[in-house]
Parts: sequence; structure tokens; C-alpha cells
Amino acid sequence: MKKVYLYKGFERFWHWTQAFLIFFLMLTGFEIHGSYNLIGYENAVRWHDDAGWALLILMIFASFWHVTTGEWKQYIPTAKNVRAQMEYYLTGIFRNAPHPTGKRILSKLNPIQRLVYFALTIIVIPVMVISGFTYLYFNYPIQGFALDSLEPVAFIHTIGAYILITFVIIHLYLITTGHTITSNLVAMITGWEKMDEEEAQVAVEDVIESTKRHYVKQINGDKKKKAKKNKNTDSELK
Amino acid sequence: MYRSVKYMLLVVASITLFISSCTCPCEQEVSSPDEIVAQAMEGLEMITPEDLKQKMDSLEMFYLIDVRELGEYVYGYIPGAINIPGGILIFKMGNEAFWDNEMIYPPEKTDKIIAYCKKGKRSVIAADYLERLGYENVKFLEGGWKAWEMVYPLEYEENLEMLGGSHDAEEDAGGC
Amino acid sequence: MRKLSVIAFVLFLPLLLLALIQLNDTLNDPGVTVYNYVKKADRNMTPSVDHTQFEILQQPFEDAHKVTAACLSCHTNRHEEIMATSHWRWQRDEVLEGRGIIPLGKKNILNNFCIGIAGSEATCTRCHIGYGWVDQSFDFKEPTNVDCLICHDKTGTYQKEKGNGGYPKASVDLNYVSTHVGSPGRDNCGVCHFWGGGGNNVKHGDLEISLLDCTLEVDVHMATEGENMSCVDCHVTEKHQMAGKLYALSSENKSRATCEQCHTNKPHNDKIIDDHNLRVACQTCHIPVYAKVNDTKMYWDWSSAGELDEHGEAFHEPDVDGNHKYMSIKGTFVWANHVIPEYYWFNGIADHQLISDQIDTIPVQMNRLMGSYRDKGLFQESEQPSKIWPVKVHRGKQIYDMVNNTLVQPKLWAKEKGKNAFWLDFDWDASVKEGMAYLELPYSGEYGFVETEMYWPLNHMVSPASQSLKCIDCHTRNNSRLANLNDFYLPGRDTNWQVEASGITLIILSLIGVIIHAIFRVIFRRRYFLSKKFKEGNES
Repeated sequence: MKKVYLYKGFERFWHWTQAFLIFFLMLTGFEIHGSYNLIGYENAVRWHDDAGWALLILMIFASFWHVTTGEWKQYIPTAKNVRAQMEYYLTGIFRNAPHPTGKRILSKLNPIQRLVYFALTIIVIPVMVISGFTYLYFNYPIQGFALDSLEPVAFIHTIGAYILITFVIIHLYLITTGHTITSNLVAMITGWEKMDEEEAQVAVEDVIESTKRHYVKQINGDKKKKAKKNKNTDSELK
Repeated sequence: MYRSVKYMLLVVASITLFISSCTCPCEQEVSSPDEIVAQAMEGLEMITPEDLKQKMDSLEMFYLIDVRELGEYVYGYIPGAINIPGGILIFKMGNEAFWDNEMIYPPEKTDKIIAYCKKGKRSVIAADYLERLGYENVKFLEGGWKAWEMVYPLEYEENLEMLGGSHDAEEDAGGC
Repeated sequence: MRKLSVIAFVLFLPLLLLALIQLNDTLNDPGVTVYNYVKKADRNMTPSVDHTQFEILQQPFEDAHKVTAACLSCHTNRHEEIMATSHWRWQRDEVLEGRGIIPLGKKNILNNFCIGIAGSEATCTRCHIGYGWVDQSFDFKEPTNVDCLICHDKTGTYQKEKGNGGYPKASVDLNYVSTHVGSPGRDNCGVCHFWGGGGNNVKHGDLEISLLDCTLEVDVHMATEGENMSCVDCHVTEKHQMAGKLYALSSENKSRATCEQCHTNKPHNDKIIDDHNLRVACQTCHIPVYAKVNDTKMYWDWSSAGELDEHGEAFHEPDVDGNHKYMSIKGTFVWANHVIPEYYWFNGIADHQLISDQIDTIPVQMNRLMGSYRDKGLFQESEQPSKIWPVKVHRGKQIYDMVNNTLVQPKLWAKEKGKNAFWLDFDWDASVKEGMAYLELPYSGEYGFVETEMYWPLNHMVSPASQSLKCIDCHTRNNSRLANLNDFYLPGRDTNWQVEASGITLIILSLIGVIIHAIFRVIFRRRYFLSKKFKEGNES
């Protein structure tokens, strides 16, 4: 058995802080919605507002990180293997079949994950942020965008919240479909995921290739140029 | 590490169980009389003045009990209400002699009973006691006598003669 | 090392949470800062003038008019100021939406208490700031008809006689009173404004005799143990014109006495609460209950009036709290205390049911508070947006003309029987005939009783800040104070059942799916371990 370093420090920090904030937003959000009474309405509102801002700041940092490190490529959705992945979850997993797509350092998400996370990032989260802002600044509208009633905003925000709850339930369950029940969880905490020899091999091969290509370039044609340069500096020194 | 985690979970679970067992409403102290009323109200059915009027008009058979004190009752009560103050209610309910005196059949456990007081709180406690005594069909009037008064200000009976004393001197010709 | 970091990580978040909660819980209370008001402790309250030193006030006064003449000998133009006010004229020219400018006031308006003064002036004008208004011949231009003492008496002994057009009682020592005058206190205003409608706290609900000497619990401004403010401290008076509106009589959004004038519109030191001021009046949260000490009248049914006792005399019956339950002269009442206000959108403009108006809604809206959720004042014409206001609603039944479909004015009071005053002769038809003839208005001869409603916005009996409404009083699904005001979406109170249903269905379905999937995995895993393949695989 080998361990492969899949999740870097910031990625794990981002995952867990975001998870905590979303959970907290849900908890306070449904209290504001009137579904129950836990910490008091006033506290729920204040905490929900603060957590919303915190999440926004976190997401800005995370977006920056994803872009500059190239990690954003992990989330590009693909149609390849979607069917295979669905079949695995619906039948294959019971027959102890192997995962159709193994984890690789450059491709940590299976096709269904890519689709779902993409949908979250492009649709659900932005909708929640925008509707959240509309809620916050409802009484200070920009002229021309003044909404008559809060109802459509509440409608959208609540639906989004229910969708997020559904996502969380399914997510919390599906992370148990790793090598062992806790292997995915441990990986997201420590960064290291246990794999057997072959899987570890597959996991690192394209990142090694990509690193090689990224950091070392052929410089055949430039031998002459370099020789010229050396000559010139040498002559200056003389 | 796993063993210590297990022990921690066990401790947390047992503490939670202990605390939750303390929330039994029977023995726990409350911070205000309103909490007693709130606890008593759980599981009780209420009736609005409009529905009560409908019941009265439809000549349905039911017992309407005014649980206020006599000194409140005589100034005005819902027509047909019997006065059994809250303090003696549970003792009179099963008392044959009492019902004989009122010339009404004692209520069966299955008979419909509606209790009301001035604003609603005393009748909640009264209804709760009646249910505990085994009466299955008990309701209380939402808002009590005051709510009835607002909706049907002319529908009331009074018994001021019981107070004794004479009427005040004749009214002067109104005005300020 | 890793274990430590994991433990630290796990502990850090809840500790952070706890710390932040502590921070938020410390409500900073910088005390109340007010503008446009100087505390009594910082003012020089001693009067500048000692009126006992003026000879003109020592002379024997034959009648009250002579007192006024004496006052006017120094305060020469004050009568002109007075004659321009609505306290004197009992009417004011105001704009009624869709009807133009209408002179409106106690003189000619109808309410659902004593209905109106026409025909009964001699008794109603006990609360007029003048002498001698007993009928339509009263001279509103005569300076000595003004009653200075009713507002400016500081002895507490000045009283006006019943049924005498506003003259003082014979027992009043006019010299004593006129030499001890000053700025009006709560007792001066209260002698009329607490007793309107024929008894203490009949009308307003939040203005009654307990305010003469009350605790901070009852009213934070007027409490004797607090700032002990008088009415004129808020109802600032310039040249006898008082700021402030009573919407039983007024209809325009001007000359208001508002909380913001002293407290500004951002007094809470908290953006979220201050933002509520955009749509919620200060009074809504800070007057959570009214009629805190003495009962107020909630219902007045004129239709049962007229019953006489076995001697043919008028009588009255008390209710259990000592208020009048029934009076032969007036009918049946319902009283209540610690009343929770009703809430309505209000933008400061009101309409009135005039005696000439057709009855088009039942219950008849004696006055109508205009406003709605949509009236936001933002980018729109209305300068004063509609806000949620606490209101006392007085309901009742009163007499109307069944054929002409208008409210009518019966003659209620007279000095003796035989003048068709209802309060003595108990004949509705005769009284209405007399009253309408007095006003030169038609009466068909057929009367009936119709349900009415009248709206009294609440401004007094402000509770201490600790007792103001909390978020949960309105933002809650059950028993919200705003349960009846549902022309808008209120978070915490409102939900869309379709959204809830589909959301909860989604959650339940996903839970079921997850559980079934997990069960199957457990089953199949066991099967796999017990299967031949696995055993063979292991043995090899």
C-alpha cells in the first residue's frame, strides 16, 4: 500500500471552512425562515449575515487560488464516462467492481462530481449569493432594479437552500464509497490517500509527465545563440 | 487514538441522556405561571367565540362551564353557562349533590364540555384538569369572556341581584 | 504531530464560534442621546413672571370673560393666535384625498363614540377652550370668549361646569387661578384629552389619568420618576399652534410630532434594527401594549340604548372590573386593558366618513388610515413611505339613515326633557329628526344601526427599551403580531407551501435513497465476504 498526496493544505482548509460555513448558513438560514427556534431570531440574522460575508471572502480567495495554481481545470465537466460512473454507483458498487475512473493528482474528480460541482459553482452558489445580496440590500435598491416584493427573492433563496441540503446529504454519503469507508474522509483531512501500488502509479504518472514538460524544455536550436552571448561577455571582460 | 475517541463519545452520549431526562415536564420547576399554562395547553383543543355561538344556536348538548369566581360571573356570563370556580372545579365535577342542586344531569366522561374564564388562561388549566380526570371531550374558549364580549357584546346574562345592594342613583342626563 | 494538529483543528472552530458569540452578545448601550430637547435638570424651570403681583388680576371678576380681558390687557395679541388654531375653531381646513379642501374638526366630524356635538354643544364644549359655545350663535371672533385658564392654570383647582358651554364652576376662585398660571402640564391637557368620550381612557387607549403620575413601565417619557415630560415637550407649541396630529380628525401628513425629531431615525446604534425604521414606525416596537393601567373602551353598541328600569328611569350596570357595561343613555360597552395593538400600513394620510358620505363598506370606516406595503416612498411620489403602525381600533354600532344610506347625527343632550334629546327622552326617531334639522340635512324617517370601525394610532404609553418587541414577535410563523398584515412577504412568518413541500420531498427522497444504497452495500459486502470468490482469492 502506498500513500499519495492528493489534497494540498489550502485546498483542505478551503474545503473544511467552506463546509462549516455552508452548514452554519443552513442552520441560521432555516431559523430565519421560521422553521425552528435555536439561537434566537436576532442572533440567527446577525450570524447568517456575517457567515455569508465570510463565505464570500473565502470564495474569492479560493477562486484566486484555483486560477493561479491551475486547479480550476479539475472542475471542467466531461461527458466521457458519465454513464460508466452512474452504472458503478447504481449496480457496480454492489458487485465490488472497480471504480471506472481512478483518482489522479491532475484529475481528482469523477465525471459525476465534475458535473455536480460545476453546476454548484456556476448556478447554485451564484444564485444564492445574488439573492442573498438582494435580501441584504432590499431597502436600498439601485434605481431601476427596485423589486416590489421580497417574495421572489425568498422563493429562489429557499429553493437554493433545499438543493444545497440535498447536495450535502448525498455528498456525505458518497464520500464513503472510497477504498474504505473512511479513506476519502481521511484524505481530505490529512491530504494523503491510501492506494495500492498500481493505483498510486496511475495517480502520479500524468502529473510527472506534465511537470517534466512544464519545467524542462528542449533548447536544441539555441546552442549557437548561447555561444555568441558567452563570447561577447568574455570579450567585454578582456 | 480510537479508544480515547470512543470513550469521549460515550461520555458525551451519557451526559446528553442525563440532560434530556431532566426535561420531563412533570416535576420541573417553571419560571412563570404562563409556562404552566403553556404546558397545560399542549394537546388541548380550543374553540373560538364564533364556533361556540354556532354550537349554542344549533341546540347541541354540551356543558358550558364558567370557571371564574362568583364575583366575576354575576356581572356578565355567556348565556347557559354554569359557574364552577376553578378552585373547586375538580371536586364538584363528580359531586352528585352539586349537580342535583343545579338541576342538571352530572356530565358523563364522554359529554362535551367547554370551559371559559376571563381571558383564557384559567380555563386552560381547568380543561387540563378535566382531561386528567378522564373527561374525553373538553375544550376551552380562546380569549375567554373578553373575546366573547368583543364579538357578541349583547349576548350575555347577568345576575346582579345576587350582589345585593341597590342600583345607583338615577343617571344624570349624560354628557361630560 | 499530526494528531496534535488534527485535535487543534477540531477544537479551534467551536472555540472560535464561542468567542465570536461572546463578542456579539455584549450589547453596547451608550445611553439615550436626544436632540432638540433640553433635560429638565439642565433647564431653569423657575417662572420669569410672578403674576400675583399684578393688580389687574386681584380685582373681583364678575365672570370668566373679565378674566380673559385682564389677560389680554398684557398679552394683547394672543387671542388672534388662539383664533387661528383648531383648539379654538374645532375645525381645520385640510385636504381630503379626492375631495379637495374640507374644513374638518370636532365641530362637524362624526365618530363612533358620542357620534358628534351638533345639537349638544352646551355639554360637549366643556372641553372647548372658550366660554359660551352653547349653539350655533357662538361668536368665534369675540376675544373675551377665549378661556386662557383651562390650559394655563397651575393650581389644579380650575374646573369647567357641566352642560354650561365651558364656563368655570362657580366655586372656582378666579383670582387665585389667574395669578398662578404657567406652561401647561399633563393635568391641563389631560383634563380633556384623557376623558374624551365620556370617561377616562374611553377614546385613546394610551392617554389617561394614570399618566398624571406613573412609573417608567407605563410611559418612559411621562413617568414622574423619570424625565416627567409634559405634553408640550413633544407637542412643541409655537404661537399656540401645537405640533402633532390626531387622525380621528386630521387627514394630512403635515405638522407631525415624531419620535425622530428628538431621537433621530438611527437611534439604535445597529444597522439592522435602524433599517426597520424604513418600514416600521418607532411606535410599533416601543408600544407593545396599551391601556396598561385603566381599561379602555373597545366596543360601543348604541343599538341597545334606551332600556329603562321598572320606574321608567335610566340606569347603568357595571361590569366585573367596575366599568360601565350598560347605560340606558348610551348602550352596551366592552372594556379591556393590556390590549395588544392591531397593525396597519399608514403613510400619514387619512380619509373620513363625513355625514354627507354614502355608506359603501360595512363596517363603516369612520376614518381610514391610508397606506400599503407598496407605498415605499422610494423613487416614488410619496415623500413619507407607509410604515407599520400600532393602532387601537374602536368598533361599535351606531345609528344611520336606512333610506339615504348615510350616518346621522341625533340630538343627544338638552337641559330638560321635551327637547328631543335622546339622553332624556329616549326616542331615537325624534332625536335624529331634531339633530338633522339642526344641521339642515335630510332625514328619511327610517333609522337603523350599522357596524363601524375607527382607527386611533398609538403614540403614548411608550414602554422601556427592555420591553420593546423582539424579532420573534413578528418574524414567527405562529402568533405573529403581524399575522393579519399579509400583503407582503415577511421572512420568518411567510413560506410558500409548494417550495417547502418540494424541498422537504427532495430531502426525504435523498435520505431514503442514501439509506437504501447503504443497506444494499452492507448486504452485498457480507455476501461478497462469504462468497466462494473471496474465499478462493484469500486462500490462494
